[in-house]
Amino acid sequence: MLTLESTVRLAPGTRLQHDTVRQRWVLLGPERMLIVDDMARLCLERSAGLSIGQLSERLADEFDAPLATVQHDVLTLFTTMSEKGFLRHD
Amino acid sequence: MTDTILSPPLAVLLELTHRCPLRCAYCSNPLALTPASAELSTAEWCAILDEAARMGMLQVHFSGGEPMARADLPELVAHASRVGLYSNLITSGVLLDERKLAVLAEAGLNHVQLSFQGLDETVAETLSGFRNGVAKKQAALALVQAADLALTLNFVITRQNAHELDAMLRYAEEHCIARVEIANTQYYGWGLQNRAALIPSEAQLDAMTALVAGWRERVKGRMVIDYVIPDYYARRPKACMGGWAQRFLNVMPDGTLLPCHAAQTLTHLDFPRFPASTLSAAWFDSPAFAAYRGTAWMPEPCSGCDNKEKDWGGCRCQALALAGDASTLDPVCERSPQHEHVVTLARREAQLGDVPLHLRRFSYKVP
Repeated sequence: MLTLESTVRLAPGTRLQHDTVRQRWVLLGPERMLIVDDMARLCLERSAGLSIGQLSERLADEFDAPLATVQHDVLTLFTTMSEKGFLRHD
Repeated sequence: MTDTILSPPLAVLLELTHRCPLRCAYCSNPLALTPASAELSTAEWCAILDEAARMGMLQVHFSGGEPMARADLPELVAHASRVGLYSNLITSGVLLDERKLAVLAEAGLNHVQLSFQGLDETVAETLSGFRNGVAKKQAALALVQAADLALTLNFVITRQNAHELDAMLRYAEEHCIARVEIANTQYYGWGLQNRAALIPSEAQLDAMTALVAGWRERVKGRMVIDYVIPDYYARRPKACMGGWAQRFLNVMPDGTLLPCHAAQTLTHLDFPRFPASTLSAAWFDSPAFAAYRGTAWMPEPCSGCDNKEKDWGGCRCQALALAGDASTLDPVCERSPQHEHVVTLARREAQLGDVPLHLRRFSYKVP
């Protein structure tokens, strides 16, 4: 179960890649692929070394968005990715 | 596709060779196996990888037969890495050793899918004709984990090993496996020949489905369990290959280009072959790839069905094998006039007990 204290990282065998032909970003894993939008990509790229809470604070700050909404969105995003096997967490 | 622009495939599956030390009775390779002398060369496989990446494919699956039977596998993996393809090795693991694995890891291999015929040596040998396979696979698993490579365990399920499911999942959990496939045999190629011996009963299937549901709940976030049922017992067909010629391109050992690995059973279609045809020409221009793509080919009631863009009409090879017509409904669908017949057939065969298996071999003649 992911919480604001969790930190996430890409699961082994997963990578974020630009799909140059289709002009989009994707997470590639074993026999699976997830299309990631700009916001999801930003979350993944910024998450290194930060807890979900810290990441949410920075994003709320940067985009002038309500912290509770950002926390909820980031938790939902990372929970989905985690359940699909793309992320690991501590 | 009727009104959308056709996208290139997402992944290419390379059946590098049909050679394999195992002789699994459920093998989905064609009955007419391709001899080593007809396999593409290293340079030809590399040219295929180049074109796949150029077209916009993102993943390559190295499969077979046993892909490790090709001595040039590390070279092909390295080439896939160079052109930016995510590489997956689909292997039995029995030819793997520490040195070979180190070379593959060094070449940039992204993922290993290791298949098991269960955890019981006697049952596994019955299914694969290979002695001490389980021990060899367990050793391979340890090597892959020691090399820190991403790993999926693939348990192939038949009537003979369905009762081992809980033990299989426990084994995966104990070994901290992040992804497990519980893959009931699909009945193509050798598997279709052996269906009467392999197909599990509905009671076995119900027990498996309940067990998987419980396990999924318990290991959520730690272990992903992919579960594939024998679709003879399904009410709706599977979206075979994510739709005919929509996501995957398969290359056979001799360069024949197919929308799925079993498509050669559709002998009325003329499949292109590399290098005479490019991958791109096969995908975008060949009548064989266009034959069942999208929904325009569909008969009634498929064309008026709400699921038509979910299951894409199911499997064409199965329609041919079971209903005698590749362009009719997949008989697995409850709306097919043959549906009852198929379910009855499966139920009857599942009760046959010990039926002799025809293990795969190069000299097999269709009876």
